Order: sequence, then structure tokens, then C-alpha cells
Amino acid sequence: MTTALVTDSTTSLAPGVLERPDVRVVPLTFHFGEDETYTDKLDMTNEEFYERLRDSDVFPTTAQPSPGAFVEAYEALSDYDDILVLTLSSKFSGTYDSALQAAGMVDRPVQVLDAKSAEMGSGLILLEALRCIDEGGDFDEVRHVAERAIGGARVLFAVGTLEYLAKSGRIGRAQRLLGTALDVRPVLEIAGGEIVPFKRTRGRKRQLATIVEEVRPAAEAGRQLYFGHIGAPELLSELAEQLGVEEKLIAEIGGVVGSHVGLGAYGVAHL
Amino acid sequence: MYQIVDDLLRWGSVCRKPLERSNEGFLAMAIEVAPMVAAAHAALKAQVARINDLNVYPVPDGDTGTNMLHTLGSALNETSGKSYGSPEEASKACARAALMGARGNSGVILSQMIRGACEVLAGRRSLDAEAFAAGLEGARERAYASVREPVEGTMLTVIKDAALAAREAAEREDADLLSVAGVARQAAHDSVRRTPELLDVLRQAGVVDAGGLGVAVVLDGVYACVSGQEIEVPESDDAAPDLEEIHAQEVAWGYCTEFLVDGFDGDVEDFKERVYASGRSVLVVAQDDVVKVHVHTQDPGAALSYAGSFGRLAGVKIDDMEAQVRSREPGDRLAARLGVVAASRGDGNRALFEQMGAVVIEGGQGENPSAADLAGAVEETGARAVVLLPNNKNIVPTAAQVGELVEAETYVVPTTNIAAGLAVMVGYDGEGEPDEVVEEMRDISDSLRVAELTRSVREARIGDREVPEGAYIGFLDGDLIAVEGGVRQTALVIARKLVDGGADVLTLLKGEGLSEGDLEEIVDGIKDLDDALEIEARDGGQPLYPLQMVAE
Repeated sequence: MTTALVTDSTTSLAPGVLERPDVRVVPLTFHFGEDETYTDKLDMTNEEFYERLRDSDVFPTTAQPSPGAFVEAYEALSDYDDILVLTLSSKFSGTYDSALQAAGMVDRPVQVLDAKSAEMGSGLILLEALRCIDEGGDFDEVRHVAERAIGGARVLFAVGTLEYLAKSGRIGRAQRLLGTALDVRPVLEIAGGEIVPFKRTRGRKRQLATIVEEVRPAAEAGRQLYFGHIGAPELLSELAEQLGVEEKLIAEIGGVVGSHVGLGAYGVAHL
Repeated sequence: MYQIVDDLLRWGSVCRKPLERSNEGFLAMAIEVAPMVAAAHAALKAQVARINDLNVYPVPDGDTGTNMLHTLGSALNETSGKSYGSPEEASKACARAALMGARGNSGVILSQMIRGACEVLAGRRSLDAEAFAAGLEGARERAYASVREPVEGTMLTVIKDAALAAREAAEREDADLLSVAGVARQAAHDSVRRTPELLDVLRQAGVVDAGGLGVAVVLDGVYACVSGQEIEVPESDDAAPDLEEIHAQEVAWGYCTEFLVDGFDGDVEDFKERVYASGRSVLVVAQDDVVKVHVHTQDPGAALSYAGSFGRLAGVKIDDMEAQVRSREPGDRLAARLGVVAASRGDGNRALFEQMGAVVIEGGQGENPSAADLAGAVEETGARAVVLLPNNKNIVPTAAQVGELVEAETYVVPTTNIAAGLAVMVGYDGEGEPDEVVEEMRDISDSLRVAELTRSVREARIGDREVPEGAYIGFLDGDLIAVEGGVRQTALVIARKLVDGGADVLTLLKGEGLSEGDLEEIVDGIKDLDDALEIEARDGGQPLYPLQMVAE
């Protein structure tokens, strides 16, 4: 019995994952205006994207993959007995729904899991599932490992402004952090599949210190950390340094998630 | 007038005149799928901007119409100019293309509707009244099945109502395809108008559901294709927001100004544009030669005299919205779990505190509020737990007495200047657990270093320092640390002490007696001391203290 994994492009991919024959990635798209469509992480470099984000009058919109795109991915994995699908949190996107509808359109067992996370968080969950496959786990074991990782994954991140999240309607309970008259740098968390406020801080240093304090126990316990950033590599290095760890896994967050959190965001995930 | 006719002309004559029908009054499915898709696409294309504008979020990024159009566009590319060997082949190709091109949530649901309809029609030899109704039922079933938690007041409700009406019409004895398609599109539009009754977010935003309108427009296109007739749709009744909702939602700003222009003579579009640019929450409705205007503006006089040049003004009504808010009864305010009362002086500071959710009571150095004043403000918050920010050391003891005068649980965070109070507000969360939020606010308060700059009003000796009258003097955490002749030197002496003590963020509040230029120079001077320091300077407007500072 063999198991293959399908995920979407908002999952951060550790080196080597994309090259595996048993992994398929279905891209989301983002759009500037009506006529310009780009495939997440493929059609534009991050640099180009963020330059565009800064300069464009049009706010980009993002779109879930079509069910057809998932059908194609499932069909391409016909050599495998079972397919496990891991999608971006269903509270951020309809990607989960597309994957689920596609599952009903192929005549093979496909199990769709809502990662309840994004980018680095989903990346760690995917790595757990892959490790189980590589250790010879059968489908039920792989699914169990993935479900446990979904329950334990945590992403803490810092944004320069809440403006992008507010504009995109994905701000969730962090709405409460809006409306402060001073320049506030919030620390946010992805928990239960949505963005929740963790702490309001003032100043970049305090924002960083808040993440360090919160993630330190996981770092000291030697748990795997997945770092990610949008045009903020130096802040990320400082974060890793203060945590006393090497940055083994670093994600450059793509345009789809980037449209919602804005330039300068960075963070770290752990299980 | 409905705009689709021009678009339809581009698709050739098929849609301008009734499609070829066989003697039994139905369309041959395999032949006609392409024009149907083309007509639906053309109809949607003509309305895409209108659908995009129906956005529940107040930002110009609606993309529902665009996403639905792309989805149909994919089906159009597949079917355009092709003929298929069988209804089954045509239906399958069309459904698959829609699925491949589905974009966005609304696009995916539309693709499922197309799929559902195609699955039903694949088994039919012809498209007659009954098949049309059955197709809509198939669309409804697939659409509902595609979402985990169906929500009414959306495109789901619209397809459901259309399918129901089509079925009823199809069961009449004289039913034909034309009448059933007509009934379905009418039922869809009626359903769209009811969406705000079913979905609160729509009602609050004063819009109908964008995806629902998209479905109705697609059915318009299908009907146009079947009938070859132009369709009349009431003009933009979907976009007229409810004024009461606007009033309930809008942040108090300026004057709410409403009036009519009777006998309007001029270019309505130009007029609209100009009014839209002049304020917020603008609504301009024109009917014949009467134009109704609603606008929130800081300058109602200018709006009226501009409008007066187009016709006679009538029904003028002007309300000061900011005054309405200032006089609002405690019961009107939506009470938070945890409220804040801040004692403060200066217009700038008042605005900053209010933006962050505090009730401000005028008072500070030289004008201390009484415990009864503070108690009144606590009651004004309407909250059952209230934080008091005295923002002056002379008000701290008074604040401590307030708990005995009010029913609400009170917490004093003993801030000693206004800048400190604002820094503490960063930890405030009106919907958080009161004990936790108060602890957070106290933690911030404990970590602050508080400084202020003032002028001596007489000669004095403080500690071992001689202070001449009129000298600028600086205090840090209550201790005199600077006596200088000039305001900038004093500010920089204080700043140096703050920076030396280790600070990440410095907040400066400019008060009376300090010019903009002085403030700029002070900020530049502080940057030279430490370029990693983040500095935020605001015009607080407090009297007696040209500058208050707080370091974190």
C-alpha cells in the first residue's frame, strides 16, 4: 500500500520536497485587476511581487485552485493507492472545499485534511507526514501523524501593519488590535485555523522579543522550527540568533499569503 | 436599460433572434450549448463591475463578478464555435471546462451549478420546459453539496428559488421553454432582492449578495438566448444602501448633510463625481429631474452652494455627527467588557485616547477632576469593569476612591503623565478578560520611564539646584534632572538620560508652548543620540507641559 501527498502552494516546502514523486503541489493564484493572473510562487519572483504590491493602485486578490486543478493532481498520482491532501486553513480560503469536491470526482480513495494553518505551519505538518511515509507507515498511520501535527502546529508572526489583513477580510479575531492611535507592532498567532491576536507591542525590538520569549521553550526542547519571512531576512536572523538556534528551515512566503500580511512580516512555526 | 444587447450582437445573430426550434418547441441540446454559454457570459460581462461593487467590506477590492466571469469564460473557450456529437458530450465538455476555470469561492460554486445542470441535461435529447427545470434542480443540488455549511442569502438561495419557480412553471399545462426560463430569471432577481433579509452582513452593509446577483444575471443571459429578447432590469436597485445602516456604521465625522435638488439641470454624472469626492458615505440618487443627495462632509455649506447651481434645493437637513456622539447617552454606547477612563488635557491627547477606546475626562495639572467627576465617566463607559488612568500623580489618590462610588469594578493603573497613559492604552483590549488585560496594562506601566518638561513660574530651590523664574526644567520619574535656559537643550538633557537608561521606543507629546520646528529639532537631536531608537511624536496640545515623554 502506497500513499501520496497533495498540498497547495501556500504550504512552505522544505528543500527536496517538491522533487519527490509522491508529492504534488496545486497552486493558488493571485490577481492584479481583472486581467492579470499569476500562479503563486511560480509566475513572479517575490521581489517582483512585493515591488508590485508597493507600487500598484490595485490591491491584489487571491483565489483558491479550481476543483479541476486538484483532479489533475490526483490523476497524476495514479501509481499510488491512497492520497492524503493537506490544505490551507479553510477559514482563510476555499482551497479545502475545492480539494474536497475534487475528491468526489475521482474513483480512488482521497482523504482531505484541513491543515488549519499556512506556510511554515503547514510545512511542518507536511514534513511529519512525509517522515511517516518514509518510515514505512501505512495510510492510516500517515493520516494519524498528520492529524496530530495539525493539532500541535503553532505559528507566531509579526506584521509591520494590520492594514493588509484588515483589507483582505482575513483578520479574524485580531480585529480587536485595530484602531490604535499609536504605531503598534502586533504579534499574531495562527490557532484553530484562524488569526488570533497574541500581543500588541510597540517597536520592532519588543515585537521580536515577544516572539523569542514565547518560542524559547520549544527551541530549548530541540523541537524543529520553521522560519518564514517576506522581505525581512535580517529580522529573521536576529530572531534565530536570540533563540540560539540555526535557521535550518527558512521559507520565503509567496504572493498569496503575502497579499494578506504585507511586506516585512516574519515569524516562526513549531509543533 | 439592460446593457447586454450590444455584447450579444458580437456573438452573431444566434442570440438576436430566437434560436432555431424544432416543431415540438425545444432546442436541440448538442447544437445549442455554445450560444447558451456565450449569452450567459455576455450577460455577466456586462454586469461584472456592478457585481464587483457589491462588496460587504468597505474596500474597493470586490472580485465576485470577475471570478464568476472567468469561470464562465473557461466554459466559453471550450464550447465556442464547436458542435458536439451528442448532448452528453456537449454537457461533459462544458462542465469540465467550468470546473477547470473555476476561480474564487463564487466561481467554484458557479462551476458546480454548471456541472449539476450539465449532468441532468446530458441525459436529455432536447432542452424543453421540463428539462430546463430539471437542469436548475441539478444545479441547485450540486451547489448545496459543494459547501460544508450552506448559508442562506447567498447564490445558493438564488438558485434554489429559481429552480423552485421553474419547476412550478414547468408543471403548468401551457408551459414552454420560453415561459419557464422567464419565470426562473424573474424568481432569481426577486430572490436577490431578499438576500439582505436572510444575511446580516449584507443588511448591515446595505447591499444584496454579489454572487446571487451573478446567478440571476447568468439566467438573464440564458433567457436572452432562448427568447432573443432584450431584458429590462430595474436600474441598480441592488446598490442603494439603507441610510439607517450607514448612520449606524459610520464613524462620527463632520456633518451629515441631506437635501434634494429639484429641477436638476446639468450633467448628473459630473455632479455625482464631484459630490463623491467631497465627503464620505455619499449617496446620490437621480430620478427624472430630482436628485437626492446624502453626504458626510466637513463643509456642508460648500456642498449646498455647489448643488444650488444645478437647481432648487429642498428638504435640507444638516446634523453635526461629532456633537451627536459627544452628547450620546451612556445607554447608547455599545458597552465593552472592560472600559477605560483617562484623565487628560489637550485636544490632541483627547482624540488619541478616544480613538483607542477610552472615555476622556478633562483634567490634569492645575485642574484636577473630583472623584465624582471620575465616577460619572466610569458610568459613561457602560462597562462593568473599568480601568482608571489618572495620568497625573495628583489624580492617583482620587482615582483610588472611585471604586466606592460606582457599581463597576474599578482598577487604577497609576500613570503619572499623559504620555504614559497613552503607552499603557496599547495593552488595552475591551473584549479581553479584564484581569488579564489589567495585568498587561500594569506591566506596561511598570516598565515605563516617564519624563516631562515645563517652565518654572518663580524662583525656587529644588534639592541642591537653584531654579530661576522662567527656566525650562525637566523631570524624570518625578526627579528634577534638568534646568536650562532653552526648551531644546532641556528636552535633549532629558532624552539623553532616557536613552542612557536603555529604551526601544520613545513617545513624545507636544504641548502648548512648543513649536513644530522645536519638536522637529528635538526629534532630530534624539535620533543623533541613538539611531536604533523608534520615536513617535504627536501633537497632544496639553497646557503647562511643552513636552511629555515616555520611554519603553
